[in-house]
Amino acid sequence: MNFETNVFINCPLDEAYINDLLKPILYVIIKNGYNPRLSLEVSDSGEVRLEKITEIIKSCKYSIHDLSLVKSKKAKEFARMNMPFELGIDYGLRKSSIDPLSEKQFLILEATKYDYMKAISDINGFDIKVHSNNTEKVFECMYSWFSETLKINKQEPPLKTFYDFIDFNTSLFEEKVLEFSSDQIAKNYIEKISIPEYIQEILDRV
Amino acid sequence: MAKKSNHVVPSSAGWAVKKSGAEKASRTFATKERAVVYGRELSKSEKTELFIHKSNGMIQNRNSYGNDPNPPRDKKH
Repeated sequence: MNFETNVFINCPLDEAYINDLLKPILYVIIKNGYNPRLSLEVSDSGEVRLEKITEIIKSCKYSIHDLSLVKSKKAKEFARMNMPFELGIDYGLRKSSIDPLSEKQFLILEATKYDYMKAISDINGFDIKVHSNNTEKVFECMYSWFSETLKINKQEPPLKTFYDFIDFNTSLFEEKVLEFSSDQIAKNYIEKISIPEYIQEILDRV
Repeated sequence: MAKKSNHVVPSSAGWAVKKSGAEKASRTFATKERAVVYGRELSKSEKTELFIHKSNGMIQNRNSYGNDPNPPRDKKH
């Protein structure tokens, strides 16, 4: 796979995040001709997980780090540390002076503006965008990042891409209704689909 | 040629009704309920399908008001 077009996505993997934010992020990356890479590609228990994740990070010029869960939502809930930890690995690789890793570029996502300042203020000055846990907003974040950092010109407006994403999900739903003869099973298929399969469904249609 | 379906979708103004493949919404509404009412009437008059989407763009419901080639078989009676 090509370093220049690989995008590492470091984000929460709970169902709400996957359906509201990760699936749109995957859609935009693939639509723009880039290749998403995620830590969940690591499933072989025989491999040392962290070493495998580091190999994925090394293979990607671009990274998206979502730090929205560094703040716990309720009492006695732990904040999630995998995301800032993997951002640290990525930053260390960028500063390692090993070619081509010094070319790495990041997008940092958070849910609420300036929350990162309270949790990890050392990253002040990075490209940090706020998605507010909102699907339409994450299309705006991705549009800006692809334009400003990856210099992708003449992208379609974020709302148009959101509507294309809706049409994509409708097309997938209609195909699965035909296959399963059930709206409920088709909806369940799309909501529970594994990320590698969802990536393939996007690749088949975009 | 198959008729275009109608879709109740989120929009920055609240909720909107748009045709499949359209770049612009037909109409926008402050609430999802009002968008669904309009979408239902429009789809009945056009004898086509209405897809109601969640705020993340996923399908919430599908209602058919025309000659549906693939009618859902799991509706409750």
